Amino acid sequence: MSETYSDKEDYGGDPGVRWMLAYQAGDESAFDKIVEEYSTMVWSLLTRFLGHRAVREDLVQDAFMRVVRARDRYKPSARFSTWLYRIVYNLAVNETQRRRSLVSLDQPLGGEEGPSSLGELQVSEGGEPSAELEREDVVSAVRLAIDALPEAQRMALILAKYHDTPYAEIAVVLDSSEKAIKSLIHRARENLREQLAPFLQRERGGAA
Amino acid sequence: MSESTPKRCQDFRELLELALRDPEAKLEPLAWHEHLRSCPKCQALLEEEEALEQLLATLPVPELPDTLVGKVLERLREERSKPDLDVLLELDQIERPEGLTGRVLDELELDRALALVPELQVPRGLSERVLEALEPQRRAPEASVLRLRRIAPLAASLLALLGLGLYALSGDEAVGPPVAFGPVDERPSEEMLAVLDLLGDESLWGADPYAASEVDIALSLDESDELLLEYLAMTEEDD
Repeated sequence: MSETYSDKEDYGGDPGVRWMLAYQAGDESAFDKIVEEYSTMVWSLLTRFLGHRAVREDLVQDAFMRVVRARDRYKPSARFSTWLYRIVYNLAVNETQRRRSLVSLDQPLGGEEGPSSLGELQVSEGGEPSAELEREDVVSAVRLAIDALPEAQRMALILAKYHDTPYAEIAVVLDSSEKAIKSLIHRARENLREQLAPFLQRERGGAA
Repeated sequence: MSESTPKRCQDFRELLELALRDPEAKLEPLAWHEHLRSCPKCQALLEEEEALEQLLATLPVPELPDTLVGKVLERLREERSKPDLDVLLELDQIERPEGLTGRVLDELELDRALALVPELQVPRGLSERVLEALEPQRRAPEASVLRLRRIAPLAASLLALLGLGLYALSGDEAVGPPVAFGPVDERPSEEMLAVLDLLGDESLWGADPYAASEVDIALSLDESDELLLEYLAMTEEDD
């Protein structure tokens, strides 16, 4: 962990907070800097949370539009990235729920590309598939397993694993406690180990 | 972790959990932990977690599309020029019935589309002439008005048709035009036909033009359609 959350009183050193305050004070160019600096982060988080759905581009735009609309009432109470993660999480959950209401219950909620369930992916045993195909299967399996996690578990795991986010900040994003986040991530990993059991078995065999 | 987990297992799993908090978790050192010599379960758990870390690391880093930043900034500029209502409706924090935003936005879209339709060009002075023709009936006693309300659309339309028909039959001779339309020197324009159509609408003859029921409107439209067809047939015969 590169940072603890104990220094939560002072965010003046956070470039995102500085730009947001400048934008609030009327500096329009500060918003451009925010978009340029944080677009990759928002895009990555949405891609990992939602899979490769076409709606991601719209959601990135929606996230920054919410930043614009919050301009007048913004108060730095966390790192800027934490605040933005919270916006993205709310948008992503809304999108998941919207999609769930559109898709019939017997269809899996996978991404828009590749296999839609782990059952379609087989761990190669007898044959000799190319290394590339095998790798694609593993990546698809990991994506599907992450997609299958409950939303809060999924977001907590993604933020911790791929966005270097301390548990205390994840707690702010999910409006929860640090202890609850620890429990969420523990359960997320348990679920992933269960979902990916055949792949883990092969990974362990390969490592041995 | 269950309460039945032995204390040494609990301690080891705490260490494991702490190590996993690091995004680049280094679990190898834990493999030398002395607890593992006597605990195959914790040994298996460590191996599974190491394998899971390797699987999670296979996910590629998402690449930001080149044009996305430009699109966001462009949308911001569009957003600044939007009416406040649009901005308000797009705020998900507002509690609202499901589908409301979509319906309201559809209505706005319809309004925008309708605004593109050019307005009907009404001849100057037409409304005054129509009101002038209606004036005697507006002054009639209440009972007469009630009776008139039933027959007036038909009568007025017939009167108008009669006048137009006489004019069409008379050629160049000066014949008094129907009061409601003023002098005409050629085939009635589309605007005039539209007024004729309106005169057949019974609801316009009441004190509150918006009080007419849907049935009234449907009936009056049928009547006026018939009159129009008759009129058109007459003018075609004349031609």
